[in-house]
Amino acid sequence: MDKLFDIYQAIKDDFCALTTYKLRGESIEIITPFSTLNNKFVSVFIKELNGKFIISDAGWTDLNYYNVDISEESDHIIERIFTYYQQSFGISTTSDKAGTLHYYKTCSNPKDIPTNVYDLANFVVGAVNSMGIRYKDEKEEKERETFRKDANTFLKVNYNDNVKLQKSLDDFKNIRFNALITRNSDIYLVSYVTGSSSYYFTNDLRKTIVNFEISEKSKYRDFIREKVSIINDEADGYHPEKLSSMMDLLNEKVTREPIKWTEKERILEII
Amino acid sequence: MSKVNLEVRDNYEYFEELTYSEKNIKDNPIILEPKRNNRDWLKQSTKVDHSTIEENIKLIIEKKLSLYKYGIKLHCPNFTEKPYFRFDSDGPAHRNKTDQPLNEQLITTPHFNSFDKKGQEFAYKTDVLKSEEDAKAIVENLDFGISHFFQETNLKLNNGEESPEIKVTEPELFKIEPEIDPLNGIEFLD
Repeated sequence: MDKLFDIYQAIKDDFCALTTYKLRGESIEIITPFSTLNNKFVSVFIKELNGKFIISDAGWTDLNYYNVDISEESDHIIERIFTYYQQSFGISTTSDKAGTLHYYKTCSNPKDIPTNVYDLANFVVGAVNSMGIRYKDEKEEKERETFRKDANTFLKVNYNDNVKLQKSLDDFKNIRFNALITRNSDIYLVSYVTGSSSYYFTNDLRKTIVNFEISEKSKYRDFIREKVSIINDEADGYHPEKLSSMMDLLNEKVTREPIKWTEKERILEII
Repeated sequence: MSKVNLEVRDNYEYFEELTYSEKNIKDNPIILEPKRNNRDWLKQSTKVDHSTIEENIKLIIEKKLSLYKYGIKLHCPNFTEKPYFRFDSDGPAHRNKTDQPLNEQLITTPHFNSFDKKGQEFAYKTDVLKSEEDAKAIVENLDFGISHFFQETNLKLNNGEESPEIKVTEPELFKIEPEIDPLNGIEFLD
């Protein structure tokens, strides 16, 4: 029993020892035992103002004093996480003269200060950690981007001004094809299929099938001469054995057998 | 997640040499300029000549005007993307994820930031920084901080002097008295 109690006591002592402070004029900085994923201890600042206690992060989250590599392309996701944490912990915000956002809580009874410190510190941990997460699959982004560029270049070189990239049919604005090639009154729809894993590859294939299916409903359908899909058979996600049923389905929707990227010259015979 | 710095991990001796072997700078005084995107910060970077390593190394000094906060860094972009050695006068305490007891893993600022052999960032205090009185003087005076940084990283001036004079392009900026209390002058509503 004593041994077990000693364990508890040691934990409690060490946890308590992690809480420390710095005096900052009229305010006190509490260095809390909460730490972020990049190993920074969260600080909160307390000050008595007009009979109330302010518990604030002093702008450290907004100023990125926690030194996170922020994934800026995911701003909208981070914003949602911040809002969620703010609501959960009842956090208010205010701006200083420089426009820095301060996250804070207030209370009148000094007994409530620890509760508010606990909430604000929890908020900061969640918010700061959310900024550093990579929400996008970088390998997939790169794969898609590289293939798109290569295929675009190939089409541009061969069809010049007749190629419109990322284009939709006028009556289905929300369905965009990677390329739309026009020759006299003929329209050629081109869709790329790629992916860094078979999951992404299959998804892309599905999208292509659906887009071609929808184009059947377009008022321009009689002008659509060919529906061409270009399959990136050099992609990591290209596993023909896993794709066969989906490829069969694609075959039904296109006017020509899908063209493999390694045989891209075949496109020139069609268009 | 705290990322492992692979360049540092795989070239640890080189990293130590970059950090602690003798280095020189020619510029004296170093003249800080307001940052273009944030005039609350002054910044300057200066070329560092390493005694044994031919590389593009920079000493970067950044100082906040409204509060007592500054940072001094060494950066060698050809070696590793981010500055490889830092001094932080203020800001969050760092947790050193080591075998030490939990209560010793917390390193408050001011502190130096370096990397261990595994490429993990770690913070430490020199004996000078462990002394509360000396640490306070360093936090409140950039010149003392620079001098301490020069000692710690074996940086010298070409003319043999110990550390450079710090000036600012707009001298009136140095007359701004930094705030000690980070909550001063901010309007908090209920």
